[in-house]
Amino acid sequence: MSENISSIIDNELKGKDLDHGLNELAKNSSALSSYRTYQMISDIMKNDYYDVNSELTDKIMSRIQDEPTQFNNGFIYNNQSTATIDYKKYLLVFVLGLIAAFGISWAVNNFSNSESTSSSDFLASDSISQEIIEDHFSTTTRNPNHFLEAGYQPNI
Amino acid sequence: MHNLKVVDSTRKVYSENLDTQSKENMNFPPKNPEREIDQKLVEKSQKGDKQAFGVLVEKYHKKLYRLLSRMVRDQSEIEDIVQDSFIKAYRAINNFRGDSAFYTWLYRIGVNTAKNHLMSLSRRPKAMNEVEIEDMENFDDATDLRSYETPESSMMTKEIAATVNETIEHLPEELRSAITLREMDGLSYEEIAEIMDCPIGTVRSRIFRARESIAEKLKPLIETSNKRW
Repeated sequence: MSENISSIIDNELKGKDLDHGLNELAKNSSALSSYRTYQMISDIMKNDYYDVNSELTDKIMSRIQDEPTQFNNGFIYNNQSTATIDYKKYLLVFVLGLIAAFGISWAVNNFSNSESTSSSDFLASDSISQEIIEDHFSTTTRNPNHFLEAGYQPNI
Repeated sequence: MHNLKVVDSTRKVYSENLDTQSKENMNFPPKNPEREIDQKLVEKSQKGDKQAFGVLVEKYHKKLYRLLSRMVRDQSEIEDIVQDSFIKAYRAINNFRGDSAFYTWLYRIGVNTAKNHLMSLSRRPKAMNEVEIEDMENFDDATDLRSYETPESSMMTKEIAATVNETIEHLPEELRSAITLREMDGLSYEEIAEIMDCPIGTVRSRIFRARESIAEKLKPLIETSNKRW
């Protein structure tokens, strides 16, 4: 593992080995410690070393941990159970969906109202007796509303 | 200056071999491998891997510190600005598209953060000319940083450098040669393998073993240095 870290310092790791090495570096504190030491050795040999507060990186990472996790143009708060996601991409689809739902609801309501007083709805009901139906047909040629005027109560 | 005494004999032999060889015959990789590594770490960070961003912090915090020390005098202020710069970089990481190198982007954030900080304190930044970041990076004014070192940190740095030097001198020849060619001459593994007439894997292993030997000697000093902070 540390040999991979040494190769990463020299930019000599490629492909899947590089991916594995970077994963190891990110997840393993021991690997990161080796990386830090190798980097120090490299700086000293190049006469480019200077003393910086060794806790500086820890302070930075402590603040990073408190930041919302960046995730592909969105972010997730660390101390909340719900995720807040940027809806910009889906806003148009959401609005169109609302309009469509409203339109369908309006159409259904209007269609239902236009048929609610139709006598043919009532006549289509299975609970109407044959006598009533014959009486209806014998009188509707003269008065289409005879059936209703006769006071037959629809079984609604 | 913290002088690093170099064991020249082995380097000289290999350097001569390098001069006689035709450099045109060597294959230089066209892509920038360092930039490739940084890009992979950025992509991991963009997918929610904070530890990957931590590797970038580890890699560049000292360089950023050195850059900002040319604008700000106070050590604690520099540390605060370095912290703020990395936080800003993390918040904007999804906006980084890879058009420039990551460290160039980071350094611009750092310089702007430092300027804002100084303006808020009604202080003019030290470098008031429109100096490009690359110029600030290459500005060879080592005395600026050296003057901010305390006597204690200066002594610690000298001790660390002396330990590294002594350890290298006592390394087996093949390990000493490999790491010296890598760090002092900046050669790639492939080039070192040609010079030392060994496989690239052997070069990789020798450099790693050399570093491990030096790291082992440095361990007590590093622990002392950490306690000091």
